[in-house]
Amino acid sequence: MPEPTPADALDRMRRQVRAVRWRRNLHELQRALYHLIATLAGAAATLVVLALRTAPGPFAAATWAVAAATLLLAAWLAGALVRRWLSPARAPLWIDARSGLEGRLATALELGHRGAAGAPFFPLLVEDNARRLPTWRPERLLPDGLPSGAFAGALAAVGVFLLVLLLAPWLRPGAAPVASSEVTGDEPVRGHIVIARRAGRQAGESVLAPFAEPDEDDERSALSRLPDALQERIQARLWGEDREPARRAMERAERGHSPGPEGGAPPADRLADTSEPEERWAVVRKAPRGARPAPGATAAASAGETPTDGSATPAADGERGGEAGAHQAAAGAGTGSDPNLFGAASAERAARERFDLPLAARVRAQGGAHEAPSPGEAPAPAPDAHPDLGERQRRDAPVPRMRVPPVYEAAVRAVFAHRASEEAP
Amino acid sequence: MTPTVAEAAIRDFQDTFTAVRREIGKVVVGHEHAIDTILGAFFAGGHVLIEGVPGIGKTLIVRSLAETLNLTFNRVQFTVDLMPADITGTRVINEGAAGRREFVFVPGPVFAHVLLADEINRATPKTQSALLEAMAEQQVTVAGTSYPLAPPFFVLATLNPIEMEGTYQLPEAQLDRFLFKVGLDYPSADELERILAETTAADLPAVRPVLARETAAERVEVLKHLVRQVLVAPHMERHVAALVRATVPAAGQLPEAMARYVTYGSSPRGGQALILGAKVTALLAGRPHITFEDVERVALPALCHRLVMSYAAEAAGVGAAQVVEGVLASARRARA
Repeated sequence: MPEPTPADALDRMRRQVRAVRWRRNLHELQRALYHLIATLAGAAATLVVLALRTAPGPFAAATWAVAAATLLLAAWLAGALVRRWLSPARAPLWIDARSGLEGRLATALELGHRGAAGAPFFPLLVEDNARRLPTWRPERLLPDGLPSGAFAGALAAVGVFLLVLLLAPWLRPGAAPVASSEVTGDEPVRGHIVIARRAGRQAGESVLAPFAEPDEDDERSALSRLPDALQERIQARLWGEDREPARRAMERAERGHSPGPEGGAPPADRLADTSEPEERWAVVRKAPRGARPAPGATAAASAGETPTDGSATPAADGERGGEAGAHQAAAGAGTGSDPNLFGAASAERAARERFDLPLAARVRAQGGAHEAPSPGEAPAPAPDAHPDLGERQRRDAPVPRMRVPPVYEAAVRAVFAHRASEEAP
Repeated sequence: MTPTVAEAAIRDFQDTFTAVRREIGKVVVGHEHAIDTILGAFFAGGHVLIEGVPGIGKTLIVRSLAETLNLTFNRVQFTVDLMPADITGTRVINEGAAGRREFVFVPGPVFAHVLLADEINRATPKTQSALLEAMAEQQVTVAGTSYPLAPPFFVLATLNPIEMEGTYQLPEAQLDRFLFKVGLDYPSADELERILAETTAADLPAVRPVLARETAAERVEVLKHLVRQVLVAPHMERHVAALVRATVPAAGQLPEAMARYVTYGSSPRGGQALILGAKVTALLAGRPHITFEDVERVALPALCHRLVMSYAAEAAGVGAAQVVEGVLASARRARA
């Protein structure tokens, strides 16, 4: 039997190096993949928990933070994969270092490529390498076909994610019901402010909806609306129709308010609290008894706008029905009073801006208005004879003005309006 | 060369080296690393510069080496009035038997296999350059005639780091011709006790020649040739080139903190010294090829004296060894 030549031995070494390289690169690829899965699953679980437990503001910040961290981690994983990837040139050196071959393999292969077979020591080097071939077989060098640690990590992360999905119904914050009603054709109760919610995004809408049709009033970019859409989407998927109360509770929690003992704040408070651009609130006042609401008045009221059907002049409305429009005297202010009692209307201002409402006028909350006395009954004491100031507010240092979003301007005007017909005796 | 023959040759080199090392160790106490470095330079075909205070065994090491290898040995004490002819030799008028007078070349002490140039920095640059020509060219030129030096030719020069007055520092170009520079430290307490005991006894230790006088030079040349045959892979050449390049501030590979301490980096001779030294180390390890570790082992003696340090380095107390260590550490990190 002929003795194997150095060329044969070199061929065997090259084949084995290729096998090791394949095995190692496959191993690294799997490891990177499992790490990526673990990262994505962890990020998804975090986002789901945050979507279910936090208010939109913190959720948006957390979403971007998680997205940035995930991107960074993914980039780091890709970099690590590139660093650990064995190129044909690096493979012999890696095997040398891993198997303690002291550079024998790399030297033999490189010099073999260079054609140094005639060097006096080369046959000795090749023979030495051939003797050591079994010490670095692929199975011996990389005994684990599967990166078990990374695989377990990925499995655990996916498990956590699934667990979060399973526990989603229990992650709903305890939300007290908020009295609200959708704007419909039903007549609201006289003398009460009815909070009407504009139709927002429905549960079935796409997450990418904010890119497609931005809200006219919302000046934020489509990218900045994405977290809101994502949160709503997650809540819709996991909570379905029950998500609204929880969502409002989270919003109140974000502002540091807790639900009242009776389960909801007064309507005026709710007006001030609602900052969600997708949920505009407006005041719908019932028309005087016997009068039919003007066509489109409900919709206009729901959008916080003054009716523009031209059925009556605003001044006449103010005199007759107590309604007051923009740039008009508030109802009940009397003909001699300042028609611009609360300052210039700010309908053209941005939705998230505030305007200053002077509170020098005596406050008469609509919600606290008493019904007109029945014939023969004594009238109720004037409710705004003593303005309902805050408990700690000193009478000699009243808050002269407060900042109100323009979208609530109509409601606030209505609340603070003085009407001669309802003045207390 | 078949694998069996190659293995036998490597084993012969190891045996000879070990025997010489052992014989020198009989008379020189301590300095094991320095002796290994000097022997490595000897078999690599280079010359060595030793720096050390007087009385720590510089001359003894060189003389023992020559005696062990059974090679001719000369010693020149360099002084300020030493002339080039005192080293290379000179032409004298000689009267022949017929009464005819002719110039005859009388070889100087440089004509030996092993030359100890003691305190080389005390001679004038002109005299130093006479020796350095012999080191580089393996020949001397006197009156226009070149006289080759018989191989092997090994110069071991010493520098005294104290008493610097009236000395002529070796220019960098001349320092570069030494393969390695070795520093000899003071012996430790144990070594000092052994030195005192062995050098003051009635029977002084003596070395025994390892090689036969008739074949010594030839054998040494064979061993030196064997060193040259050690394999160097392309990746090792790249590594050594990168190391040498990394010492050059203009290359921009030195860290900013280190770059300001180095005025000039190593020359390509530094790379040659690294590879030749690594080859000896590889043979001693029984390997026919060099590794990263072999290069690292000889990096300090091969590179330190080739770096020209700045005044900032002197002021900060930063030595060339620290720079070379930093370069090696960077290379190690890059490999990992």
